[in-house]
Amino acid sequence: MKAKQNWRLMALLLPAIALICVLFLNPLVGVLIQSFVGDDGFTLKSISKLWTSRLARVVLERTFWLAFTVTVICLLVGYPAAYYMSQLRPRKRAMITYLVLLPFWISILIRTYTWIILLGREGLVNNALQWLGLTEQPVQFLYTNFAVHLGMVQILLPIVILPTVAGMVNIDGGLIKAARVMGASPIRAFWSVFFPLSLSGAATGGLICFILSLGFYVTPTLLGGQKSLIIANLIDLQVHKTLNWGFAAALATALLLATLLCLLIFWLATRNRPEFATGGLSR
Amino acid sequence: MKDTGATIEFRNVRKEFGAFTALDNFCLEVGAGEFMTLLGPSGSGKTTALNALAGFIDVGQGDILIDGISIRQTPTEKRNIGMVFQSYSLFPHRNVLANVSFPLQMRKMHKAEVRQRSMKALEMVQLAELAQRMPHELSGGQKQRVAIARALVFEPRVLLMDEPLGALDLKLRESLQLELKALQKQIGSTVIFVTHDQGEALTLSDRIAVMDQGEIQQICTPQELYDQPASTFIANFIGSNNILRVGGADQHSIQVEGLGRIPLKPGTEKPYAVGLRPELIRRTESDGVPAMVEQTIFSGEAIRYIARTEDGTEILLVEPRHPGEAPLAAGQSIALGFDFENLIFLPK
Amino acid sequence: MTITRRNFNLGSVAALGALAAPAMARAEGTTIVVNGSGGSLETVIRDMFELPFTEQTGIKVRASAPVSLPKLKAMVESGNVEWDLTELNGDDVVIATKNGWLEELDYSIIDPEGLLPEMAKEPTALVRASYSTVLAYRTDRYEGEQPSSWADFWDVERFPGPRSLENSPKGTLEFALLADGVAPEDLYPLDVERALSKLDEIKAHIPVWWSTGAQHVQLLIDGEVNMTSCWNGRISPLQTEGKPVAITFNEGALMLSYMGMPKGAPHPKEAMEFLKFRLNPKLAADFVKVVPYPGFVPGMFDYLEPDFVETLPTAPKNAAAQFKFNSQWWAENLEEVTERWTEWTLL
Ligand SMILES: Nc1ncnc2c1ncn2[C@@H]1O[C@H](COP(=O)(O)OP(=O)(O)OP(=O)(O)O)[C@@H](O)[C@H]1O
Ligand SMILES: [Mg+2]
Repeated sequence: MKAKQNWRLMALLLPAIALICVLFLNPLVGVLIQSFVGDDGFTLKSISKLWTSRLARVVLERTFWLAFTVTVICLLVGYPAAYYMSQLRPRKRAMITYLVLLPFWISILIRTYTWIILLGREGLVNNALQWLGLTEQPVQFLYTNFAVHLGMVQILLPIVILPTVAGMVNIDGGLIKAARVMGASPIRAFWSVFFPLSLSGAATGGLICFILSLGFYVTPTLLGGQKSLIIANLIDLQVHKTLNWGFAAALATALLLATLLCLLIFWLATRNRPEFATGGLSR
Repeated sequence: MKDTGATIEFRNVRKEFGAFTALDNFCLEVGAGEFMTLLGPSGSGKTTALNALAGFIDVGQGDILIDGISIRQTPTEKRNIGMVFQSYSLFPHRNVLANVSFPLQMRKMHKAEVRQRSMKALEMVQLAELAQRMPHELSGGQKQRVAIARALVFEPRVLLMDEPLGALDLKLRESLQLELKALQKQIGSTVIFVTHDQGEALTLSDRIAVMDQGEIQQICTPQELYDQPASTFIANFIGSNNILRVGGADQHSIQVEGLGRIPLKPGTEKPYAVGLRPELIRRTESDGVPAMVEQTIFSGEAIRYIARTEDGTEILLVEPRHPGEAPLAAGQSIALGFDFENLIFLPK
Repeated sequence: MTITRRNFNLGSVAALGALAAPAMARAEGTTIVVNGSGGSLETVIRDMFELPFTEQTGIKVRASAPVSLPKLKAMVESGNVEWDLTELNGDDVVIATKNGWLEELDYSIIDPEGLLPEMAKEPTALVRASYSTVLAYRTDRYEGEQPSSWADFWDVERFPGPRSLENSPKGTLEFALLADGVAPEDLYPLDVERALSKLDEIKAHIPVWWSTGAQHVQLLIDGEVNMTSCWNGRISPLQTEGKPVAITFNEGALMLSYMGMPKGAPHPKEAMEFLKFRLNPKLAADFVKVVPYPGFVPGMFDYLEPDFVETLPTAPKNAAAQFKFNSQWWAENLEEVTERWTEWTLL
């Protein structure tokens, strides 16, 4: 009886599973195979190049470091905003949520180009700085890591804010009252009760942000200098310039494995914490 | 017994939510170490009163005093109140011990002492062996006891409990009631206790305040409340009762449905109704009110009969059960006897 | 300055058609696919070559884009060839030929009278256009003397400010060596490490390495850089618009762009007819007026103003100032150098 129900419920997943198989697993397997195929059949050349090539290592490191810093900034900026939203009445919160989501109506490409216009040597920001007399020579904002961070944070911020808000809204207000009546000042109640309970939501947002950051392509390409280029750019280079598809596939595989590793670490770290079981989305 | 708890006084407190008045000129004095119960139907303002005392809501008018000192300007965390919430409100991210330790940690107590006192509080509620469990690994009753330990651990002089036993089954509830009473005696805190359950209120309280629509209807000891309810509402609310309408009256007597004519003491006003506790009705051989048994209800230690008098009034009576004796069957005729002094004259 | 169908002289086409028609069996209904770089150029090519060709032969032409060696590889290897012709740059031709991705061309169809110079005829590809990668600069940034050589480009004292180079070793390494004093005729084989260490000198002054033609133009116009390496044809339209930009052909890289036929192209005969059609000097001259990347079409200069010829990369004076980009060397060394380049830029 129970088993039958489970099967029926599973049937609801079928369209999603079919889509994943066709659109995700199929190319994924293709990529995996590609990383082991050379000019004459099976080879470990591409895979072993991951270790021998300093380029691959440095760029992978750079990719993870960028994803990490972007995620930290998103959390630092997003958390207070999420807190503000969580304290609003539902109606007003819904309205602010729409505002937070508003940038999603504009393509990433356009938003990134907007940064180019704003940050250029003759752009709005530099003009303003020069007009205010803060700088004589235009400041090189564009094609720097700074610009890449700005562009990525702007794109990813909603992705951090929304799960964080969802997690915060789920925190029982009675717990804060309980802490207060037991002698905690508002600040202590926040740090000893609200903050730890909000972590699961924020961590979910941070994790999604981190994983999305790993795969960024457009923003580093358009806003960054050579030193900001990350794994996706390197893969692109292998596909389009060097035509070394085997190595491109190996890089993609490495990125995938590293991402899975991050997920695994996250899971191991939170597995015994009941409040993480739901990712802070519901209780 | 420790030094006794604090005195609490609500002075003409008024609290409005928009156009709705949740507390209306609310006055209540609770003595040091007293166990005071707020009893009343849902929405009568019990939680609101506790919230006002804890500082979760601002009162519009009036004043609240602890030990004679106004606390209206004192922030919640400085009021030194222990509180048990109806929904437990255990911190899900802290284990049992850490939950109980919380009030002590907030009071910047030494680590060793925190541990020692927390364990002692857990022992009081007989949960010492579950100290390392997380809240979601506890049963409802265990959670409730952790909440109680957490409220008592710093030996507050004021202890507020909002339906702390509400979610428990009867058995657990009764045993916890006794524990609670014992603990309170031991610590000596002043308690304000909120409940829906009149039996619980009668068992635990030194005094009971019956609330309705933001006002106190009657405040007295459990016994007085049982014997002399101040209104039909209370008489109905506390225990089982036969509420009998009063018909015509003259200077010396009133006509009570079911019972017939009852003498009225000189100078007494004509009541709205008359109450008669079912356990104070006895069966007589003769010279009682004739009635017929309609239904027999077996309830363990007692037997309840629903009888109908000749004028069609339903009367409930309760008799202790005598083993080996068959209860009356439906349709049997009986005569009901009672003493005039047991009748409660009720205003509207 | 773009050509539309309206101002294009259809009369001349009709006359040409009369000449060409007998050689051609009319293959009504066939459609050949010609792969190019797309964009506004595609429209010009359609109006000036493809539609008249269809008018004359009945063979329809469908344009596709973009030019992509990986795509060519994928098509040929999968046996699913869509293109009949594709544009290719010099070293693409060498690589594609080496890998057998291109069909041999039949010059008895394309150039029956043997008028084309040898330089324009590769066995598997026909020179379609020539273009130069040259030094372009903002004329409003420096008072007095303007940069006129790669040595000037490297001279951040005399010509301060950010600059850009292509994010590709091709040409860029040559420029570095020229700046370092290597004579144009001694460039090949390239000393890659020497070029890179010369590039190290200005790496800090290059905030961005361009990768498309549109991008380097934008960088100049937006004032992001003061000078950049640049495709010659991109600048004249800007000058016409009055933008303060200029180029120098001095030490530019003269590069050739080709048209090749993928191995297994579905309509080889029709495709070669189309190649022949594009060698018509009058049409080629009209085309070059719009798109200043001339091929080696015999007799084309006769139809052009001498002043205009001056601005073309193949004009004798300009050709002499440049070095000839060695596609052969690049094709042989591309993989290795690109890898080194990638490391150098990314690390
Ligand atoms: N924040 C609020 N806003 C508006 N009305 C409220 C608010 N809090 C309580 N009330 C109203 O005040 C009245 C008293 O509420 P209170 O919670 O004190 O009732 P209670 O006696 O504790 O009831 P219960 O036994 O059901 O818990 C109710 O009618 C309730 O709807
Ligand atoms: Mg309540």
